Amino acid sequence: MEIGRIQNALTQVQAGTRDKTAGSVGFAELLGRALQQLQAVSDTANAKVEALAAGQDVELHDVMIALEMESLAVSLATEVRNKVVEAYQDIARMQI
Amino acid sequence: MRIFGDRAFETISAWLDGLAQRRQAIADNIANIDTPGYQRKVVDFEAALQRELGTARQTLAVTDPRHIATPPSAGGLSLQAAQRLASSRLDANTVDIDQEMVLLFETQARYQAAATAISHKFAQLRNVIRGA
Amino acid sequence: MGFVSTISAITSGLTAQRVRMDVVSANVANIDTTRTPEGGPYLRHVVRFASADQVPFAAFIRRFTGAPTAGVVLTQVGIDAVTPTRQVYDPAHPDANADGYVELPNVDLVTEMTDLVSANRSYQANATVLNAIKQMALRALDIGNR
Repeated sequence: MEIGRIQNALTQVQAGTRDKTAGSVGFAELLGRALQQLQAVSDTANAKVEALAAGQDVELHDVMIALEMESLAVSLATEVRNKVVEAYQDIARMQI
Repeated sequence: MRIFGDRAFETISAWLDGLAQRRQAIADNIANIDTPGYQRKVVDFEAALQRELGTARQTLAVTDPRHIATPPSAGGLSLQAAQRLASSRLDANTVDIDQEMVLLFETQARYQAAATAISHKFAQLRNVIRGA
Repeated sequence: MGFVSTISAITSGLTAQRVRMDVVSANVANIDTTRTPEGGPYLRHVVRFASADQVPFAAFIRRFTGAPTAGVVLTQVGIDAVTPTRQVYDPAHPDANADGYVELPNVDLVTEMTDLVSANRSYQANATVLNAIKQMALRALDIGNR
């Protein structure tokens, strides 16, 4: 799923940046934080959808808001991943 | 819900919850419109929400005595206390069908406004993220 | 409190008014019924409403099913044994008693019609609320639509 691919990028960046400049360690942290938040938001959304599917008494607007939050969190994490990978590639190119 | 650092999502979410509870109360009241001895259910969440937000009765600062701080509040669309007739029902049921219908319309309008508001916030956030 | 309990409350309201209208129909249809399987004339049927808060059994059900029953209307159809039956002098009638009187049902057309109008108005009110609930649900589903 989305999180899996993004986590792969994270491990790559973490492995790569340990040998490179110290400044780029911040990127991995950034991505890690985005992923943690994404996981939390995703869990909430899943829980709400499951409750609705099971016929429990959950408000529709609650479910829709949670799903939209998850969607935005995924977008954010994806953007951060892209920027991190881009920055890492820039740095890698600089080491000549 | 604080993930994106904007309090608006929490606020509007709480607002929607309050309106949904009011909708439930209205449904109970109308379902029981002919039940003898039934007491009307009321949901008043605005006061609690205002306290949570700390925005009770904020007035704008004025630089000139001729300026108006904030216009007098319309106080909502529901019937004012003076307009409501004293209950004339023999079966001790306190539900006034007209009052309930007005409240239903108001609740529905506010709910749709809140849903639209939060949709806009989401759209804005989406633009910010994608455009980055 | 949520989507499910709101819908169930209104559904019970609609059912309650519908039952009420059916009972009026039965009463009017049997306004001249002098002979029933139980013996004696048809007796006026009445509907008894109670809100789930007023009935302790509802709390019992709630504990076991977990389903919300607050505000739900419980309907009972009973016999009106208080209003007296009508006595009409008609010795030629096959159900006349020894004194020539026929016992007719305690159904009054005016009362029944009034009840019907009231039930109809209440039914409309419930239907209006149901429509509003539907509109709000549709709007909620549109949140975050691109």
